[in-house]
Amino acid sequence: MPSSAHLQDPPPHLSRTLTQDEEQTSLRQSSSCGPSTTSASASESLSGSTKSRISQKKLLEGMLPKIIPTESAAKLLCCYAVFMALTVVVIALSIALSVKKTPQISAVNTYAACQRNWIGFGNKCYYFNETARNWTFSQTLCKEQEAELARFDNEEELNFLKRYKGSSGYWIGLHRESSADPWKWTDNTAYNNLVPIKGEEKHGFLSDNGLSSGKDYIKRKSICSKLNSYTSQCP
Amino acid sequence: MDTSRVYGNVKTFRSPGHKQASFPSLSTDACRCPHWHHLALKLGCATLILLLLTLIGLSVFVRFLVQKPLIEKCSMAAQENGTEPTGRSAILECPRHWQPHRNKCLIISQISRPWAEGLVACSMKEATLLIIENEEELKFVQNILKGRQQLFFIGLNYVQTEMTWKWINGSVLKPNILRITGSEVENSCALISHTEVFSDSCSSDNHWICQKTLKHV
Repeated sequence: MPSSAHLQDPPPHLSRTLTQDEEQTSLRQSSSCGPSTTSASASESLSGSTKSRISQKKLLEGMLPKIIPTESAAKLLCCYAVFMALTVVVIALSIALSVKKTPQISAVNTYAACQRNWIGFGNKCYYFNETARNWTFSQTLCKEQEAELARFDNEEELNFLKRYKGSSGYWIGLHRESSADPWKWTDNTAYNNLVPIKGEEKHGFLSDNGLSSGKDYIKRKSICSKLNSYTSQCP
Repeated sequence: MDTSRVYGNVKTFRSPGHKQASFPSLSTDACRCPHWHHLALKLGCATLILLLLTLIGLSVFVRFLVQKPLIEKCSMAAQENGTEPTGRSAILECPRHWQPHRNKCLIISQISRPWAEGLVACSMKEATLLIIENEEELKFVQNILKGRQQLFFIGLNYVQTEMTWKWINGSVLKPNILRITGSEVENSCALISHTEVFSDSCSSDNHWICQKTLKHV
């Protein structure tokens, strides 16, 4: 065993001494050589290391901008374009809505809205019954809606009714006791004979030929009318 | 000696450090960019979807507002086509706009006037006011008028002196053909609707029905 220990000891000593000797010899050689040779070797080693570093950096720099920025730029441009377009359209629509609301408000002030399915003209609301019934029943239906068979007070209103009704005949609120009596409205106020009523009967209706009269049991369409309370409330 | 040693140390220190740094830097750059981009893309897409929905909503709203004020009243069809009967194969055919029925052609007026004016208007078309000859013809005519809430003069009036209803061809009305609702007084003329026949004043404004008889060669 001591022989083995003895054998193990020499190698590290030998290696250490050898390394030291090599270093010393290399230093001596450099000192012995001229200064030009030493500077040349140093510059060569420096340039090699710097070249490798620069090449690596160049690779990194070259790769990054070429790949990532182009793709992201394209995507971003697309997104921006669509985004801007949509924003502009939304703003335009909002402006259109705000503009269109205004005239409706002004319209309400001049011709206030009548209830559903009624048609406003001037200070009245009109309803056109499309089912044929006799004069008395037509008047009853109008009263159920707080109205009367239709009344017109001037030529504009009469022309509106003529224009709107089409070619059918419609009962209106004119009636009389006999063919010799004057015409009256359903509230018993006198008719102003704005337009003469043709025929010899006692109940008036609007035909496509002006005002005519017929028997009360004949079934016709009818028109109801009532005052537009909204406009009357306006100052 | 000292300077050379320092130089050597620097060399050995830099080279392994550089090598180690290169890989981590690449991996860190690769990790960062995609993550950030993914987030940005998600936000962008969400915003775009919101804008699209808003755009659609506003468009619908605008259209609704534009259409709402419009008031439209459907005008009645000028003339409705009734069911064509399997009549005889007449040599002559009905003129345009006339409705064929067996040996007759019928047409409904577009305007309303008193009975006498209707009679004249029919004669100007080489026709007469409608004369209903049997119950089958009555049903056919009323079927044509189905859906119309209107009344039409026919060629039937009340003759006070004889206390009876007469057709314009002089024949007397038979009770089994049709029943007249209303008063029987002087100056009464018959009106037909899709359900009934009424008596009205001849001076009242109403539409009328003309008939033209086809003659075989």
